[in-house]
Amino acid sequence: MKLTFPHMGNVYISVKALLDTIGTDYYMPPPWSRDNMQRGINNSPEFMCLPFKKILGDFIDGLEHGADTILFGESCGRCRMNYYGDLQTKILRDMGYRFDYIHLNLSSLTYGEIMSKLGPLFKGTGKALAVSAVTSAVRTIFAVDGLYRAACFVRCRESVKGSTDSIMLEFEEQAGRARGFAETRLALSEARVKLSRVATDARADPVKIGIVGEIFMLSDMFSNLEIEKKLGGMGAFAVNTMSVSEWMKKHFIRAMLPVKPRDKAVAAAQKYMRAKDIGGHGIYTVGNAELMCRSGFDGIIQVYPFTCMPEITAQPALGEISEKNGTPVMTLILDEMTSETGYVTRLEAFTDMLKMKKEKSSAS
Amino acid sequence: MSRLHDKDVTVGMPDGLMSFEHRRVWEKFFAALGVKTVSSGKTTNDIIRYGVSLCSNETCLPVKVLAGHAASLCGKADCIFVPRCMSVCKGEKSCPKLCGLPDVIRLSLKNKVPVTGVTVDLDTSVKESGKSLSALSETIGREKRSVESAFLRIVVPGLAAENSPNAFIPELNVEKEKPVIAVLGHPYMIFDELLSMELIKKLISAGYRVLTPYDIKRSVRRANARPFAGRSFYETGLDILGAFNVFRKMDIVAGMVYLTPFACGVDSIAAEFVERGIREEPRKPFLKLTVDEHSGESGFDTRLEAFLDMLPAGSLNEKRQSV
Amino acid sequence: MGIDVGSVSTDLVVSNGNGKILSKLYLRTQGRPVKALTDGLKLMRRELGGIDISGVGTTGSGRQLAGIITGADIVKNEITAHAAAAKRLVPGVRTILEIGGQDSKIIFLKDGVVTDFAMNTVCAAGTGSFLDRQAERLGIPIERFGEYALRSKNPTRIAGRCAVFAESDMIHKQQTGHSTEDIVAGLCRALVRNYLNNLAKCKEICEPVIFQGGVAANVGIAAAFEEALGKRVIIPQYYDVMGAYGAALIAEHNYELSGKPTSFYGFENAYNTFETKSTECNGCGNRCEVMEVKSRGRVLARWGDRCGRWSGKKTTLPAKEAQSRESLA
Repeated sequence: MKLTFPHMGNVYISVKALLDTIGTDYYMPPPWSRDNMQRGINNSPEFMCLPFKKILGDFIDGLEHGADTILFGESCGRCRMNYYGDLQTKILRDMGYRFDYIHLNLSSLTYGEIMSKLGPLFKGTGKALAVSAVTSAVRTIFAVDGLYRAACFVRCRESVKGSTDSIMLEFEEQAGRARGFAETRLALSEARVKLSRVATDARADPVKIGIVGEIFMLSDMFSNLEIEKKLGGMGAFAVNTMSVSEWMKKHFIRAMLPVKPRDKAVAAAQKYMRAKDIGGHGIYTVGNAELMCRSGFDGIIQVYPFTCMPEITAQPALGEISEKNGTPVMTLILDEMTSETGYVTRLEAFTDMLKMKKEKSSAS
Repeated sequence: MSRLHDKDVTVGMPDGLMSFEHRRVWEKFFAALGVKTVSSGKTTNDIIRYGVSLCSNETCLPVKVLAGHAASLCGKADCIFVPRCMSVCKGEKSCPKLCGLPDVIRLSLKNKVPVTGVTVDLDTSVKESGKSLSALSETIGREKRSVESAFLRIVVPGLAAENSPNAFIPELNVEKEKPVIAVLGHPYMIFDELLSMELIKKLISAGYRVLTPYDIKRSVRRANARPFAGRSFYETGLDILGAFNVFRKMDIVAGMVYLTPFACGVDSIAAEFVERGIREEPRKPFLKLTVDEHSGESGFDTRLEAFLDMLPAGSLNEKRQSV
Repeated sequence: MGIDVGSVSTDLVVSNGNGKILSKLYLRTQGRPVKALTDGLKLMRRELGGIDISGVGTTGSGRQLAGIITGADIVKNEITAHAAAAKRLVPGVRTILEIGGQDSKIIFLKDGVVTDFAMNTVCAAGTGSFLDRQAERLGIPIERFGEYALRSKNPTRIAGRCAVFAESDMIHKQQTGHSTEDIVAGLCRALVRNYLNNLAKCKEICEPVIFQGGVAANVGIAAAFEEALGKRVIIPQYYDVMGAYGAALIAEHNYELSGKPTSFYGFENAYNTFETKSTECNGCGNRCEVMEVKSRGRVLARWGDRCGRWSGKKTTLPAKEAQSRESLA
């Protein structure tokens, strides 16, 4: 059996370490590949959202490289992501590929579910080792996201432009070469140390921008054209509300809790959207935007793929939030036609606008 | 009927989207409660234009049109009724846009008219409607108990009725021997004369009989909704896929037309399965028509005419001679 | 000096310290931004002789390239530049409508600070290039387009989400016998309708409203805006070079703040040869398009790569990559 899996941001670092630890044969598509993206686009319905196209591209690449098993997770919510598997397997089978499809139901993801669905992967691995490997993988996901958050904090304050970027590039390379959790952890701790040593401007008071939107786009830097890096380079402190670890907290850790805590973001959203769920993370987009406006963010950017149903539904609420709080909100919609030049211009102009506003209010 | 207050409330029923499909059910519900309703009537060009100007560009045409309908009721009704239709029965979901619909309409209308809605989430539990029903009972001045009982008696079974509440215009389908064109699509697209550019009328006047998903019993649609039969999926997606799988096996169906609004999320999945399925039926020509607020009728007609010419030459002529 | 390198035109302005334009140039970029830019610099030198430049700002989609070639002091996006120019010429301006050759924008200001903006690069139906094309199709010179529009009594309604559909609808209307004047006026209205629908939806348009960019020369469009908005639309003096003018003002402001001498390479530098090259890097499946500017055999800058292999963002290079880097250079 040879496994392949699609990319979603940095989660590959953990998945790779997990598969290396339990000794599964796998093929990982390159994390940055326009070629794969193009193949996905060519074989997808036009009005399907970008994450579908990108994931399909990764599958095609994996199957071309001899994989015979696909690992993918879905739940049963309202977002189209829950039906990706049905259409993707149909498309791939129509293209003539033969493969097994391991479908993880993420809305009820528990150790039991993982162990039973991933049984074939753990063949020959002791149960104790398997459980500890899965635990390490979850921890690594959190550690990687933590590192990227730290990078956002440092990047907008660095004295020498580009110092953070080169540390993160080195980390990505080192983590890419790492085999197993020990080496991955080493790469992580080295990067953390280097980040803490970056010379920063103590007087820096960067504008603070909250990023809300569709989770795949927000956690996948390839898809969001490195929005965190770009904003940081322009001297803005970007706070990304969506990441794979956030998602794990919501679906995986919450699912195991006997008493579910009230979600602050969902509660904050009720003023604008009187629903518990509008699909995907739409209600969190609304709630987080409101919470961040209240806590003094200078601006909010909503990012979603073209035709994204939950985010389109959330969008009108953001206009109201912006008006009520006096905080600018910009919506960026990405698809395969998006020109990076126009994207950068919008980010720059938005950051400039927030800086001018901040200067003016601090002057008066 | 016991009343909470004497004020006579008129409820505005915008005739678009799911309120279009389930309109008869909700009208019955309000009639049972003795509440006056006023409909926004047929979609007009002004309604479309107004709706387009109120909504964000990104949202789909049906939502924009509904906003236009709602806006046209300003001044004619005390509140506008937009249900929050999350699911109409177990194992079904509505498009995310319907889950936020009352909010989207309220925000688009800039809070000019109160928007009132009932949450329907029968996939989770009928209890989900409780809060919104008591809010509604306040608004319309009827006792909560009677509102609840009317909801349970009329709305719950009505929304997922075996025979579509949006029953097809039977008199247009009398000539049983004519070849059939199956029209697939969301009810608020195919039955809206303006949005569909009178597609059904055009097909009938070209000499065909028209069948839509709503001419098939609901249970049959569900049983045939491959690959989602027996599983959770979008309501309209199940309707379309189920109907498609029935129509493709019917000899009398000479061809199929799929009408879809630009960039529809549900159709990006459903239409793809239909398009892949129809390839296995070489004798059934297929046309997908995408419309939005910018569509010109001339391009639409050209495509439709070309499609009708593609149909097996005999299908219509033979029948004509035999008639 | 301000330089705006756009995809359709390259504009240069030189202004004095009082915000007065001493000289302005408007050149067609024609897909060769370096040539347009160096030609512009040479012309500017001929016109102004030995003028002393105290700062250079660049803007437009080619701002980075222009910054590298001229040694600009500041590189700014076109929204900030347009806003800077507009508020200098019309103090208190609240709304800026801008339609250029290849894109269009709307900018909202309050108390001299940008509060919101929107930019449209997807839809070609709202740009100058589209009008040029339709003028050509109708066989009337673009300069007289506005005049035709004003003569119309009964503008034709032209539908279309994008240029292709609008064009086909226009042809259809032509065939059904609408007069050229009515079609031209219809096109102006359609362009304005598309523009407002795409960019200004649900936003309050406050006066003063100004209209700038190359298309502001078209009186037909300006009239269509006034009609659609029900507000007076001001066309500022330097409407056609507002980006470059804004860049010059930003450079001036930058000079006043920092007091540093300019890093401008001088007009003479334009006589050097510049080579630009775009290479697709084969280092990985991402195939980044790497841009390179060379002058006299020396690489001035490289950008466009994500991994930093070419732009030198990366601190350490593995031996193999260092080697291939040499071979590209």
